[in-house]
Amino acid sequence: MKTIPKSLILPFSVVLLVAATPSWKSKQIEQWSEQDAKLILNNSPWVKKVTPVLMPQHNEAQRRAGGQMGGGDGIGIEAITASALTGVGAPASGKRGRRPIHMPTLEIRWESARAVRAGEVKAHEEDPPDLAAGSYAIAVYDVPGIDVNQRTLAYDLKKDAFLKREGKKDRRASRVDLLPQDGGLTTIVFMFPRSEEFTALDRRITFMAQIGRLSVAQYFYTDEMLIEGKLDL
Amino acid sequence: MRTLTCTKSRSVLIAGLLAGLAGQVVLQTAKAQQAGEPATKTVASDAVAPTPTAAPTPDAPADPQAPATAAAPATPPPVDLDTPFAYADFTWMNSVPRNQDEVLDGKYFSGEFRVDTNYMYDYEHPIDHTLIGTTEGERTGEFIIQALNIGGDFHAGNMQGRILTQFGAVSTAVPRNDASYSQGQWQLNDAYRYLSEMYAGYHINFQHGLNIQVGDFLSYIGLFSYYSFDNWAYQPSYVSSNTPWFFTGMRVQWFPTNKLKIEPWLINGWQTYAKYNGREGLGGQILWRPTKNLDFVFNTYTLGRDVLGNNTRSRYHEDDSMEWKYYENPNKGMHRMAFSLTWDLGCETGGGVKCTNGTAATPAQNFAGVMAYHRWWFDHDKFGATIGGGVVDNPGRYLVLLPPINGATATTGTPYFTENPGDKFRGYDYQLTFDYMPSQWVTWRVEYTQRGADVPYFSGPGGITPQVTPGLYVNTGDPTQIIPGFTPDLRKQERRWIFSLMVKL
Repeated sequence: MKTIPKSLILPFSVVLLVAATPSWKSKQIEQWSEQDAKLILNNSPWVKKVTPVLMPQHNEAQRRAGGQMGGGDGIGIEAITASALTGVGAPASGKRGRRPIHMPTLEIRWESARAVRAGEVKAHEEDPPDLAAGSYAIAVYDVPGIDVNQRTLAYDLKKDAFLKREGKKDRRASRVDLLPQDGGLTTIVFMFPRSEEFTALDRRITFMAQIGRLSVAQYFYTDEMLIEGKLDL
Repeated sequence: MRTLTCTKSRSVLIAGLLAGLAGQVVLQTAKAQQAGEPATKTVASDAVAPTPTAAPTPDAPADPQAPATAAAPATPPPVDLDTPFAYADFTWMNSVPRNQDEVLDGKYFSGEFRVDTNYMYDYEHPIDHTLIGTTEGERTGEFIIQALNIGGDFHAGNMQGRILTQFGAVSTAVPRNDASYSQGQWQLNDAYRYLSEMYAGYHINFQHGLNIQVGDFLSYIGLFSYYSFDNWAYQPSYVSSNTPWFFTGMRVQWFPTNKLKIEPWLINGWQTYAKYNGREGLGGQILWRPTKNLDFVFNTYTLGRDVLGNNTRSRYHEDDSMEWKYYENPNKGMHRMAFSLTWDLGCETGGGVKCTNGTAATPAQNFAGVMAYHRWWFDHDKFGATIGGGVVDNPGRYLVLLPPINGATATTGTPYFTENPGDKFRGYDYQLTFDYMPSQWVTWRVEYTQRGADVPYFSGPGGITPQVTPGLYVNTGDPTQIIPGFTPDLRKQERRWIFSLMVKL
C-alpha cells in the first residue's frame, strides 16, 4: 500500500487552507483582484441573495374599503372542498384562475461596508450608489415593479425598513434613494443613521423591508463581517 | 345596582383569570416554539411575514381550457402606492373578512355568499326561546339560520354597484328596531328587509379616488361588521350592537392619500330605511391606516331627528375606534396578537330632553360606552381566541334595543319596558371566543357571553311571550297594552354559550 510522505502533508494542507480562505480574510483590500471583488459581490457576509415573500392580495372587502371593486382574480368554486369546511382530508385542490407568480431573486448588499465599496471599484461596476455620510446603507438590487416617479414612494419605503438587533431598539431608515437599473428594475438604497455604532457584540443584525407587497428580510452576522480583524459595516 | 356591581366584580375576576390562563398558554407556546427553533442563518422573521422561501409553485394542475399564456408565470405585482390601503394586508382586523382568495371574482361581477348559523344555550332556558337585546341572535335552545347573504359587487368601468341579500333571522331582528317606515305609507321595512346592502355609485379618478354612492350601505359605527364572519367575536358589545348597522342615503368616499378616507354622509336617519321627521342626518367617517399595524376610524352623526312623533329632538353621536396589531411572527405557534378599542359618546337634545344636566322636567338623554377586544391567532390562522367586552350608560334608553315583549317593535313600544326620558339603563358584557378556522372561508366558533344590566332586561325562564294555553306562548292582542295576568320574565343578567358555523365565499 502506498503512503503519502509525512513531509508533504503539512505544506499540502496549508495550500488547501489558503485556497479555501476567502480573499477578504486572506488578503488586504489593496491586494484584491477583480475575481476577488466579484466573489465578494456575489456571495459574502455583506452580500446576500434573497427571495422576497409576496404579501397576500386584497380580498373584495378590502378593495371596497379602498373605494375599488373587483380584481377579476377569482379562484373558482373548485377550491372549495370538504376539507375547507372541516379541515379534515385533502386541502383545496382547484385554484383555477390564478397564475403562479415567479418571485424574483433580489440581491442585498451592505452597501456602506468598505469591502463592498472596494469590491465595486475593483469589479469595475458602473455607477455605484452615492451614500449619505454617517449612515449605514443597505442596497436592494433588481427590484421589479417600481415606478420611481411615485411621489411618496421613498417616504413609504423608509417607514417600513428596519435594522433589528436582539434586545435593542430597531433602527429605522432615515433616507431612501431609488436608482433605476436596466430592464425596468430598480435599486433601492436604505440608509440608517450611525448615531450609535453597531458592534461585534450585536452578533446578528436583521434587515427588514416592505416593498409594496414584497416583504424582504435578511440576517447579517457581525462575526463574519470583518476586514483586517475589524467590523466592517 | 348592587346586583350589577357584584356581577361586574365577578365578571372582571373571571375575565382576569381567563386572560391570565390565556397568557400562560401563549407564553408556553412561545417558549416551546423557541426551543424547537432551528439555528438557521435564513431569516426567521419577526414583524412582517418574510421568511424567505422558494417561489410559490402552482398548487393545481393546469386547466386544459385555459389560454396558453396562462401557463406563463406572472410577475410580482408592481408597488402600488396609489390604490387606497393597498400597501398592506389588513385581514387581521376586527370587521375585515380574513379570506385572501376570492372564489367568485370576475371581470364585471365579484360574487359573495355568506351563511351564518348558530345554536345558543341560554342558562335561563326561556320557555319561549326568545333572546333579547341583540341583533346577533334571536332565539335560544334551537338551531337558527342567523343570516344568509347572496350577492356581490358589480363593476364596469367607473360604475360600481353592490347588492347583498339578508335572509334568515336577521331580516326580522334588525328591521324591527327601525320605526321610521311607520311615518306615512309604503312599508319600506317589508320592501328592504331582505337586502342588507344595495347601492350604486360612480368612481372618479381624483387624487387616490372619489366615489359617489347612493342607496343602503353598511355603517361601521361600533367597529364590528354586520356580518359575524368578519368579526373577532359573535356577540358584539353594546357599543356596536346598539348602534347602526346600516344607513340609507348617499355618501362620498374621498381618498386624499392611500392611507386616508374621508366619507361624508347625507342619510335618512340613524339606522333607518325612511326619514322619521323633517330633517336628514348628517355625518361621516374618517378612516386612517397610517401603518400596516394600525387603524383608526372616527364616525360622527349629527342633526338627525330620529324619534317617531317628536320632530324637534335631535341626535348627536361620536364613535371612534382604533385597532393595533402589535405582534406578528409567522414562525411561532401563537403568531399574532392585536386588540381593538372603541369609545362612544352621544346625546339627544330638544323635544323634552337635553344632553346633560337634566332636570325632572327635561331629563338628560345621552349615551356613553366603551368596548375593548383582544385576539390571539394560532397555528397559521387555524385557531383564534378573543376576549373582550364593554360597558354602556344610556339614560333615556334611546339606543337600548327594545325587548320584543308580546311582539313589540320600535314602532309599538311596550309598557313592560319603557324607553322614556329619564329611564335609566346601564349594562356590561364580556365575551370569550374560540375559533376553529379550517380554511379561509369557514369559521367554527364557540363563545361564552355574559351580559348584565341595572334593570331587568334579559329573558328569564318564563320568557317574554304571553301564555295563551298551557304550553302555548304566542303574541296576544296589542303589544302596546298591558295583558291581564301576564308579566314578562325579565332578569338583570344573561349567560349564554354560542355555537356557530359561518361561511363566506
